[in-house]
Amino acid sequence: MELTQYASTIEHLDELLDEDVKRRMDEQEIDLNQIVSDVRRQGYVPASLFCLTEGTKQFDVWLE
Amino acid sequence: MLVSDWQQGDHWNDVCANWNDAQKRSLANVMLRFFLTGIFQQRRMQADWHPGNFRFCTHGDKARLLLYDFGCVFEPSEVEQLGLARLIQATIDRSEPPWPLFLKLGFGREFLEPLAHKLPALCRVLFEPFCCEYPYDVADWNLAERVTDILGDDRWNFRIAGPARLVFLMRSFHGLAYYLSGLATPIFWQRAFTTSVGSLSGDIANLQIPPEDTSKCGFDSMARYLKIRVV
Repeated sequence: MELTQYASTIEHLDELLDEDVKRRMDEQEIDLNQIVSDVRRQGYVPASLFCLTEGTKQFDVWLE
Repeated sequence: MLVSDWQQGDHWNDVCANWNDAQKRSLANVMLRFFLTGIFQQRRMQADWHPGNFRFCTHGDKARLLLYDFGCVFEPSEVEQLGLARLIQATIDRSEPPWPLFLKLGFGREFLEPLAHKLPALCRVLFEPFCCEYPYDVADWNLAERVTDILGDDRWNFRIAGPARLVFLMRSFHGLAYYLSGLATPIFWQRAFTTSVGSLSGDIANLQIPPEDTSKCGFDSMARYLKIRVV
């Protein structure tokens, strides 16, 4: 499954992620607020934001 | 004699407490049009949006804005009017780099040049309500935090670079955002902007912009899409 949103949606990424993904991010100490803040500092340039593995699932989030 | 008939109206606090959703939406559109018309049609705009200067009244679900004090006025020059319209339009359609347009608006080259590469992201956030092709809720804006993150240590350079007279424009813009935040109803900024600048489209396109090196400061440096993939 691939979901495409306008890049500005990064500001509300928290609302797009389900609770299991957010729990997994917490476990891996992936700080979503810090990621969004870094995206702003870098001027919303295309970049990989984070990758997660949950069981057999691979979860990728990026800007392009 | 400036006042011949005293008009009564609701105070801002009454609007927030007592008006229904349709009346608030109507007022939000009135205030946005008031702001845009002041810049892009009349070139004369209220620069002091203090609640004491306004009253508000309704006729059914239609809102009206009463101005009690029009003493603090900003009168944009033609270049400021056209330059700002072109900057907003360039941000909407990513059609040209913002850096030469800021210079045209009177920003100082010396202080702005070091942060020219940050201007696309800054414009995208500053003018985000205009960029959305749907009614925009200013509660989603988070403007101050995002601008602080984008500019970082350069935020003072940006303020110093700006011409002093544009402070009045920023005050009006913040005033508009304040009222729209209180009204808490999404409205269609892009459509209002397009309508407001429609008669200026030829002049906006013909505004002469001196050539600049914009190789690293265009909107094409920014991502268009956020992608999420699960496999």
